[in-house]
Amino acid sequence: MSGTAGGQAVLLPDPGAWRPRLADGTRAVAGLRDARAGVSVVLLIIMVAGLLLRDPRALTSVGVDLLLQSALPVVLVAMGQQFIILAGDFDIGIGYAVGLANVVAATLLVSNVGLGILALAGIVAAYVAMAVIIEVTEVPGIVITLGGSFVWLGLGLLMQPAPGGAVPGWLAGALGAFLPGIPEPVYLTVGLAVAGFLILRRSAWGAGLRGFGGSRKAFVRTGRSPLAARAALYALAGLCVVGAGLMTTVVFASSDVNGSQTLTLASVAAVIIGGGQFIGGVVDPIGTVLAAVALSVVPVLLGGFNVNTNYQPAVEGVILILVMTLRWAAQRRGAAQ
Amino acid sequence: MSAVPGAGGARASRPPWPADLPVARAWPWAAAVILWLIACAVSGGFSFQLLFASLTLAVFLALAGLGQMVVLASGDGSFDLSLPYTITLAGYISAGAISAPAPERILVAVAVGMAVGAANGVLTSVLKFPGIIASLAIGYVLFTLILFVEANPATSVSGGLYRFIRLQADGASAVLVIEVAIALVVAALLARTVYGRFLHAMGQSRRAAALAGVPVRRMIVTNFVVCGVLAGCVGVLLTAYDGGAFANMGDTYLLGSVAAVVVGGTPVGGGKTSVAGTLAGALIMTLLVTMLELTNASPGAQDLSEGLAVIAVVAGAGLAARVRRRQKGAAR
Repeated sequence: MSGTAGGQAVLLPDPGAWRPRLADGTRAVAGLRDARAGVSVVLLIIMVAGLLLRDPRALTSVGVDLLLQSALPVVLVAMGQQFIILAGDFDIGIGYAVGLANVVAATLLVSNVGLGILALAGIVAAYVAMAVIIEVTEVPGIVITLGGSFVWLGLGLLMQPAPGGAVPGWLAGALGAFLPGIPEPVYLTVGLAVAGFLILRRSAWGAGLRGFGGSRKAFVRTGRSPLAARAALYALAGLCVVGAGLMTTVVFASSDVNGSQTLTLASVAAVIIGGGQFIGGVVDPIGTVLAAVALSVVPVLLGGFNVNTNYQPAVEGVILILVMTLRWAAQRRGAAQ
Repeated sequence: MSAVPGAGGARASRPPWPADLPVARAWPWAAAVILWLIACAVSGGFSFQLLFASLTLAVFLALAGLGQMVVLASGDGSFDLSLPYTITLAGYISAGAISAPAPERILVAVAVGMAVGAANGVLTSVLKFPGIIASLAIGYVLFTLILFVEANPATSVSGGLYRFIRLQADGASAVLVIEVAIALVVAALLARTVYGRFLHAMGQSRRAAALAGVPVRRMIVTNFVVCGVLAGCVGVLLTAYDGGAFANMGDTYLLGSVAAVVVGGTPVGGGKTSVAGTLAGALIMTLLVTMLELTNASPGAQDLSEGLAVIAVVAGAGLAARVRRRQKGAAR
C-alpha cells in the first residue's frame, strides 16, 4: 500500500466529504456498515453469551438495566479517550480525572450546587488548558496528561482523603425522567453512541476534527487553527470525563478518587477495539461505545465464574492484544491481495 | 550531521549531534543547582548532604530515564509504559519471590526485564502496535503477574549486595559509581557503535534509515530490550538499597523517567540522545520531589504540586527547545 506509515493506512483529510479517502485511492466505507466496528459487535456478543451462560436472566429488562448502568461510566470514559486519540495524543490520566469528577459530584455538588458546577466546569477548562500547553510547547501529549494525572489525583485527595460522599438527590432523579418500560441506561447508551456518530461522522465540524487528527500539515494548509481543533477535542473529552464522573457517582452513590483507575486501560482498549487507530485520526464512535459496553462486562463475567477480579486488567490487556493482532493479520492479508 | 550508516565505512569522529549543544547541555545542570539551593532554603540550611542524598536517589530514576531515552530516540514517539511494572517485578524476583540463590535471582530479574522488552519490541515492530499501546497492554499483564508474586515473602536481599550498595565514602556512594558506570556504557553504545548510529539515523528519518539498510525492526526490539534490562537493573538495585521489594515500588518511575528525558533535552521526535541531559533531568526531578517532601504537605498536596511542577518544567523545556528550533531554522 502506498503512503503507509508503519503498515497503517494514513487517512488524508477531506473536510467536506462524508467518506474519507484512504491513501491508496479508495474511499473508506463509513457508517454502520463499516467493518471497523465489526470486531466490537462480535466481542459484545461473546460477552453477552458468557453472561447468559451464567444467568439466563441477564437479558431481561432488569438485567439490561443493571448491565448498562455499570457500563455507562466506561462508555463515557471511552468516548473521552476517543477524542484525545483523535487529537493524536493519549490521556493516561483519564482514570484519575474521572475520579476527581466523581469526588466533586459527591461532595461539592451535594453541599453547594453552584460551586460544584463551577468545579466541574473547571475540569473541562483544565482539559482545554492541557490542549493549549501541548500546542504551544510542542511537548508530547502523553507527558502533559501524565503530569495531569498527578494533578487530578492530588486535587481529589485534597478534597476527599478517603472514600465517602453521597449522591445529589436531584442527579439520581434526573436519570428517571424517561419512558417507562425501556430502562433509562439504554436511552443514554444509544444516545451517546448516536451523538458521537453524528458529531464525528455526519458533521463538517467533526470531519474537520478528524482531518486534524489525520494529517496536521494538511489541516493547517486548509487555513484552520490547529489550536482550536485540539482545544475543541480536549473540551469534548473534558465533558465526557465530567459525565463519567457524574455517572460513577450515581452508580456507586459515593466517591473515591482512586476508584476509577482501571478505566484508563478500558478506555484505550474500547477505542482501539471499536475500530480506532492510534495514528491517523481514525475512530469509530459507535464501535467505541459497543466495545466499552463489552469491556464493562468483563468484571461481571469474572465474578460470575468465580475468577479473581484482580485479573481484570490482564484480561482487558489480552483482549486488546488479540484484537490488534487480528487486525494486523487482516491488514497483511488485504495488502497481499 | 554525519550519522549516515554504511557511508564508505569510515568511522565518523564527530558525535551525531549538532555542535551548538554545549549551551543546551549546560542549562539542565544549572537548573539542578538552582533547585538544590531552593531545597536548602526550604530545609533551613546549606547542605551538601542534601545534594549527595538526592544524587544517590536520582540514580535509580536516571537509569530508568536512560531506558526511556533509548526507546524514544527511535523516533516514532514510543514510550515504555510497562517500565514501572518491570521494575516492581524484577524487584520482587531479586528479593526472593523465586527460590534460588541470590546471584541467580538477580540474573533472572534482569532476564525478565529483557523478556518484557522483547515482548514490547515484537508487538511494536512485527505486529505494528503503536509502542505506547503495546507497552500499556504488557504493563497491565505484568501488573497481574505482580499480584501473584506479591504473595511470597520478598525481603531476602543478598547480604553482600546490600552492604556494597550502601557503601559510602565522603558523600560518594557505591550506587553512584554503578550509575556512572552504566551511563558510560550506554553513552559509549550510543556514540561509538553501529547500534548507536543506526538508532540516531532511525530517529532522524525512519524511511531514509530503512532505505539505507538499517534493520529497523531488529532495532526497535533491541531498544525495548535495552529499556527492559535497565528497568530490571533498577528493580534489583532499588530492592538491594531498600532491603526488600514492596508493592507499587515502581509506580513513581513512569512520570519521573519520562520527565527526566524530556527535561534533559532529548527531543521527543527522536534522532538525538543526551545521556548527560537525562542524568541531569533525573537529578532535577528527584530534587523536586525531595523539596516537596521537605514541606511535609499532605499526600494530596504533594501529588498536586508534583504534577504541576512536572508540567511546568516540561513545558518550559519544550518551549525552550521550540525557540531554539525556530532560531536554527531562521538562521539558515
